Amino acid sequence: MTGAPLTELGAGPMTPTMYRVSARADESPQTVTLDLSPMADPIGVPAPGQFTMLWSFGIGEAPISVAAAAVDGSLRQTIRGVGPVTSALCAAVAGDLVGVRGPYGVGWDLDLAQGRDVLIVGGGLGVAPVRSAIEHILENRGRFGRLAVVIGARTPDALLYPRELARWQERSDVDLEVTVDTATVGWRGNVGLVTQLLDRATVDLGTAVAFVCGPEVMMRFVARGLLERGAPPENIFVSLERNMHCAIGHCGHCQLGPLFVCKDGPVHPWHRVAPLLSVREL
Amino acid sequence: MTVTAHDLAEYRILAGVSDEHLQLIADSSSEVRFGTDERILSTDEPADHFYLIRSGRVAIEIDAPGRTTIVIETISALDVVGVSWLLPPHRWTFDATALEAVTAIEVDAVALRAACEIDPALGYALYTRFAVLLHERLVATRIRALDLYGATTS
Repeated sequence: MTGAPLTELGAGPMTPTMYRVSARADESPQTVTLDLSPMADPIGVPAPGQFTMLWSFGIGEAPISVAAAAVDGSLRQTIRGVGPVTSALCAAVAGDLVGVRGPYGVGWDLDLAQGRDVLIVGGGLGVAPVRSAIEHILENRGRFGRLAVVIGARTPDALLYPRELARWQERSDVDLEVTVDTATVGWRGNVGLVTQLLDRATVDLGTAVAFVCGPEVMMRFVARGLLERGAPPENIFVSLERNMHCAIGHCGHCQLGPLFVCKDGPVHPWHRVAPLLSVREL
Repeated sequence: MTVTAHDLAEYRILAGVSDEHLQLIADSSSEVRFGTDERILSTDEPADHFYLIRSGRVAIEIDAPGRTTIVIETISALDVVGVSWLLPPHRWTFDATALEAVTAIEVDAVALRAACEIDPALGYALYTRFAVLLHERLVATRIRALDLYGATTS
């Protein structure tokens, strides 16, 4: 197979660009981080919070958030194997080929966050989409106010990106809190829900911008906790996950009321999606 | 070290409590310290006090036969360790252990329960505030019971 992008062969927006797996890291038994290198012209550089559609050839494609992206076109994406496509992607090893479409959607509003305190809450696999936002703020540290990061996971073993967590913990300009749902003795960190750490976030919630990603129920309770503590709803952003197929707003599978999560999101301001999330039929 | 009403006013659980009542609680309080891994509360022992954490982290734990000790929740600065003092039979439900050096305000719950019997306004102020705390912890526990981070979505 050549490295030529299939778009040169007359294909359209649904055609993936070829990438090769350059490295894989097992985060947990079902979760893998793949480093992907473009074989020819890469897709555009994803902004923090955007996602791509990853192809496992012969099986299908799935929307995957971007944990890191470099100007040379390389991508780092974390995948949990829960279905045929994501399980196949999780089985990929260095040298394998995958297809990439994107980047898609609206990411975190880092322009709005400039000059303000920022609170970032990531739970479970939801740490992946906020990782690039955290790194962006750290790379442009002077443009932002205080940075508080709250990370939640099922168990200590399930925490994503332990090296990054250690690096953020060492920095004096990041207030990092990590908590897990359950732990046995030996774990010296927090045990509890991420919402229980909101009072310890050293940011001014009255003006701070909050980026929240994780299971939807978790995000609802984080948003509620932030509102109770004085955060304006327009300053709270959540990254939603729906059944995204085309990723370009054509197929309607990810429709949430008047919104297409793939195109209008996945990051949405809380005041826009809160009324929709409380409708069970949506 | 003497505990003052001003010290107690820092705690969210006591926000809005009158100065008079804060002073009454302060009169039943003292500062205590625990070393790393020191047991603070033990299951089934009398719940005759509770702690307002000043610094450090406390693990709420339970021993399960055949398993290692399970940490149910951790409590840090400006939060409360011990709510069983509020309700009969006034015995601890779980163990509590200092995960690191802990400084706390120990409140005499026996004296406080007696004061609540005499002064319903104090009782109402404390029980409504602890009800909020219990509700928050119940909600958090229920959400954790959903195992939201489990492998159910991609």
